[in-house]
Amino acid sequence: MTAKHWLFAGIALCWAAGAAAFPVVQQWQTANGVPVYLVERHDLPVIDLRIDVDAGESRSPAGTPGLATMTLYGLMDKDFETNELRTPYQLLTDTGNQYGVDLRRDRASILLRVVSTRGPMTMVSTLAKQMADAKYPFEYFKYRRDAVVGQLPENPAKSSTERNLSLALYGDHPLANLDRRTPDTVKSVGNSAARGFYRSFYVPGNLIVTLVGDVSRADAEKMANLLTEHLPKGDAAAPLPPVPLSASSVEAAPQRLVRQKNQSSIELAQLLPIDRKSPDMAAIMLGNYMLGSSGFQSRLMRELREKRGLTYDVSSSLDILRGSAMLSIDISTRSEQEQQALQLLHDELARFTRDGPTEAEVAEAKDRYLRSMSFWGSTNQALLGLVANLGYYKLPLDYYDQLAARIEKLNAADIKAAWQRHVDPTRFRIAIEGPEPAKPATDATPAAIAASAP
Amino acid sequence: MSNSHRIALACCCASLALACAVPSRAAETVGGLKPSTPVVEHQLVHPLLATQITHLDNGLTIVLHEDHRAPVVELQVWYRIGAIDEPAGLTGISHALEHMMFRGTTKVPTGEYHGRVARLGGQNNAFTTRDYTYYYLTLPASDLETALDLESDRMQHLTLAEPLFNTEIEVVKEERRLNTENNAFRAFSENVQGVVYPDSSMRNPVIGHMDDLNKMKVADLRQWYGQWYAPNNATLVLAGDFDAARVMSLVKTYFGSIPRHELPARAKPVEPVQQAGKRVVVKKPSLSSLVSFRWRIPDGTPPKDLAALDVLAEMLSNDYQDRRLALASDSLYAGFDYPTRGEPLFMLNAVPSQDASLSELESAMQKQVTLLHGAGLYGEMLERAQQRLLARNYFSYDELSNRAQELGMLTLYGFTPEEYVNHLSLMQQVTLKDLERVATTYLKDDNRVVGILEAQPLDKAVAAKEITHDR
Repeated sequence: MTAKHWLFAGIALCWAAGAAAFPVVQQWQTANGVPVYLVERHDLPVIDLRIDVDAGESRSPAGTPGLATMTLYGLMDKDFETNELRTPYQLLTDTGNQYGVDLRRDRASILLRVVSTRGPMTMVSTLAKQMADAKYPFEYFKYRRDAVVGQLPENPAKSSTERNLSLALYGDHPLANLDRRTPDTVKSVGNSAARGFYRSFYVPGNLIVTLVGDVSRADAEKMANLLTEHLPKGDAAAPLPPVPLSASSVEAAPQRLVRQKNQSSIELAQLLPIDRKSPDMAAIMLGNYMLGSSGFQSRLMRELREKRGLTYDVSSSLDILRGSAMLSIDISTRSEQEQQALQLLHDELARFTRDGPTEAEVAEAKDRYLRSMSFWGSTNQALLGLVANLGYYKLPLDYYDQLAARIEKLNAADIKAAWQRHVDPTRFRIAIEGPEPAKPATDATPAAIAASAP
Repeated sequence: MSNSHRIALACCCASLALACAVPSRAAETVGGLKPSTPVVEHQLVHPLLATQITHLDNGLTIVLHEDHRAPVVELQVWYRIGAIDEPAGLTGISHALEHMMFRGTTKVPTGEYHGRVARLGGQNNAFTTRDYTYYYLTLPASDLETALDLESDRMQHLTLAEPLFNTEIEVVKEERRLNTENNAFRAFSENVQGVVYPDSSMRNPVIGHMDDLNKMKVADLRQWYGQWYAPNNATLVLAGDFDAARVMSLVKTYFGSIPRHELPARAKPVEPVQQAGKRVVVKKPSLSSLVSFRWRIPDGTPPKDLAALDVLAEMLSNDYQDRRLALASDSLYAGFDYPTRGEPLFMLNAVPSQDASLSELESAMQKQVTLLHGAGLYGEMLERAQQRLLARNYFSYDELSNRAQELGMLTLYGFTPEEYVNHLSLMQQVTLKDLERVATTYLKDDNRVVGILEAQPLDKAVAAKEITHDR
């Protein structure tokens, strides 16, 4: 580990307590322009390879949610040719290597984990052949589609708080395609449509290759070339339209998803018009860390669990995409005290936004955050995700250093100001999975009845 | 990260993760075919073999594993106390005590444990299972002494203040509501375990029954803590970037003076031999149904058979042998719960596919089991399972905490790293004949419980359980 790689003297001071350095990232482009990111780590005989494609559900054309999903899931399917005994998937995994895919709102990822001493180039070559010429044979496609259909809800908005809120907040925007997938929409996806989608989106301009582990630069270059040289030709996808933020600006009654439960799961969410490149992001991230994403050190855990025993877990999280981020808060609590918990969440959000944190709190949180950053990427798998984000979100190679430097400079006023610029505590969308609320008592006051009306 | 007290359910072949030091056959492929002469790979020495195990005079077991890849240390303290030790009426007490271990000592007030670890940028958590309770801390290597200080302190000086207990037990109940009462698969599993082990503490849910949590008193926890949190009932595991000689003297400084004390006698729980197959049907609001076959495996099963059952579970979890089962199920899982302080258990679970009825799925699973008894096993499936086990060996080295956890667990079950590696090596020697033998010997109808979770709509009230006996 070379501490030198962390560039900023100011950070070096506060990391001296025992921080590991963020590893050196090598970056280059293949002949056809695909960015490649590599971190060499030779302690373990393992290579982690990841391909991120701008072919998440947000790229499914209007009216066909599920097309991006089926395209990614069926990528390894192939009819046998003469003398072939095993499918590409079997070739990859029969020797114990691990192949997986991850389909998200804004990207499709392919993950391969191989033992470096057991012919990794053969594995990459198998993957490359499919990347270059995915055929989506019908029988396989149908089998996969049936499996996906079985996993999807008929009515997404009623199926989970997360889907409910995403649909409400993203509105008609393609980023909600992931939540629009239903058995019917997926059943209507055909294998020729998947082939077309693959040809349009699995093209050099939409791809990033990331490698971490026991692989030399020369071999990594060979692997990246193999994976990309015969990709379909085509243009990079155009940027998605801007995310509508108007949905957040409407105060809406909590959505209730009725469940036979004795515990209510409450989720609040709001879209923020910022991403990793925004000047305010560091302040929002540290604020979120202090409010609800630092475990027992967060305000929400302290107030709702430690002091009051209202929940096993309460947390806030920030899901940052291109051009927008979703700030959400989750809690589960005994149904009878659902309203009490919700009120407390509102109060804490309002207090944090109105007053901001104290200087002492910020100093302490900054120190913790920066120290915990030294554990980021301590395993190859974790590092793979961090480095892939550099490529996928087009961030500079020293992004994590810059982030640390920005965090280091923050004070209480910065966090309060950024929070007030972007977060409106009165306008979170709310969804609750839980039992039907108790019927109002017969002697309920008119005011109480009015409040419970839609 | 934010859940500090997640229960690790002590199920399903936790021992599978690392494989062994035997040369493996490389299965590189040439044009889709395996080379006929297997290539011998360079010998891999199992990293867990580079471990020192010693004991202090007070009975504390010390496990030291140096790993200098990163300036990080992981400290774990394992107590041999879990749900299996709990008497009727006090289920969940080991786990509740685990929660209270973060609620302050005479020296470190409530909240401060988490605070001190967090201020160093570290992480911590704790797990309670049927067989043990363990605590872990990951810190920068330079702060190892803080970890020793915190852990030796709470081994002796827990406050167990009543007002804090009254709050914390509500948190535990919320945890039960979250993870069991409103989680159909977990609730189902709790029900089925009650049918598999009706007469012994092996049935105890780690989180505890709600009735017991409602009645639990802080005085019960004080007694439990006094009885079981002793150096002679604990193992300290240290893994990471340290010098073993220097660390041993620090360990003696912090733990050497803690007095040992007599532990209460504990008899191994005994469950009468099951004479006939049993069946339990549970109806709950759930996204999907589930069929579960669980076979009780006798204590004293020979090591070779245990290794074969481990491999069989790996094989069934990842490969469909039978097309009918592939069509009838959306997901399939097999697990072998071994090692254990109770009795080994072999499990086969499947979720029905959209078009399959529960009885179709059950009969497809039954057919799969019958195939195992006969000559229906395929060599390729076995080979794939063994290859997966070997490759996973390499992959699991990535996480320092995996190494520490394996070491803590094997020590708790009374194995040396050498014995453990030998078990992993046995798994590579398993043959098709072994698999057929163990399937025929152990996977019989008489020692099996069939559990059926019948999913009910999420928004309608139905809750019922039927228990019947086969024949």
